[in-house]
Amino acid sequence: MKTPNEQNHPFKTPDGYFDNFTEKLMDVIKTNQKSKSKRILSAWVKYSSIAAVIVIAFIFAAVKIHQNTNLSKSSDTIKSGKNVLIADSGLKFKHNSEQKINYSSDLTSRDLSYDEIIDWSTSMDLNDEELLVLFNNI
Amino acid sequence: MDLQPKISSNLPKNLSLESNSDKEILNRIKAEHHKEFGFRILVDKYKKQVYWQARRNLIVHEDADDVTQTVFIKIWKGISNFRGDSKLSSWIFRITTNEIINFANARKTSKNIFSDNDLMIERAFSPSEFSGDEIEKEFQKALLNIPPRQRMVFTMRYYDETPFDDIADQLSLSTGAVKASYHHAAEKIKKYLLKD
Repeated sequence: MKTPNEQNHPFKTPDGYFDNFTEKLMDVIKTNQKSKSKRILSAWVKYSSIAAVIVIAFIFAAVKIHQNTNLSKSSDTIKSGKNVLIADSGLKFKHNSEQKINYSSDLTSRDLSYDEIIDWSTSMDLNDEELLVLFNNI
Repeated sequence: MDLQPKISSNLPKNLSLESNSDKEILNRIKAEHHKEFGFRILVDKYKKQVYWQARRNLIVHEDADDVTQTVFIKIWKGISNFRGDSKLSSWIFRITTNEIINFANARKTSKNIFSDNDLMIERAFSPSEFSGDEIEKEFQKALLNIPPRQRMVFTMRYYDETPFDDIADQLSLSTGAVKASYHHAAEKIKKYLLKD
């Protein structure tokens, strides 16, 4: 790269332009680097927050699925269509041939919500009458 | 006006910092914790060359200053990846020419200067920024009326007497294309000057 001859053209620069140029340039570069660092940091915080929310949601979903699986497993122990239905997790009742369900456990309304009982009863293939008896016992 | 290349017989004396060879500068930049120090030496060595190349093509000081800063910021960002396949000066010059042409094209597209903005023209040729006479002023205006790449070729040949082959290499053009560009540029400048 040839050095342009300053005498070859008629342009002027502001006083001290070249003397101050390097410092001015380094200031610009440092400012750019700081703003870049801030951008990187804010992006990191943003994406970490999103990742944390996703992980928490995933854990919550996994716990719920695990609970449902346990409930489903416990219902497997119930001999559907037989005279006796036994559920784990503190829920025990009998379903005899006279369509009588003897509820005998420490189950209270605090243990299972209405929706959970409905879900559970659906998985047990209980009919309305049996369900009514169950609710009356609760 | 004589459009034969001006021979730079009065090149400025080497700056003291120019005693640092490009290789030494690169070694300093690539040495751990010495990037800024090495880069400052590089800037001090090349700032005038980059600036005047930009100024001769863009005329306005602020534009040349913008381009010069952009060139060195790009060098700062890219110097770590510079492998030394080409000379450092060639690499810097290539960045400079690209930035000048891009800037000039953007300016032409935005039409914010030298198309219908007389205020900017007047400022560019005000006594604080311009020391030439009326003929020189008309010559610079004629230069501004040719396309950026032709202007680049013309200024390199006219001011620095750079060989056509070198210009072709630096601008990634064929030698024939560079000669044609120079010829077209000279014709347009003559035409502009003769018009008045």
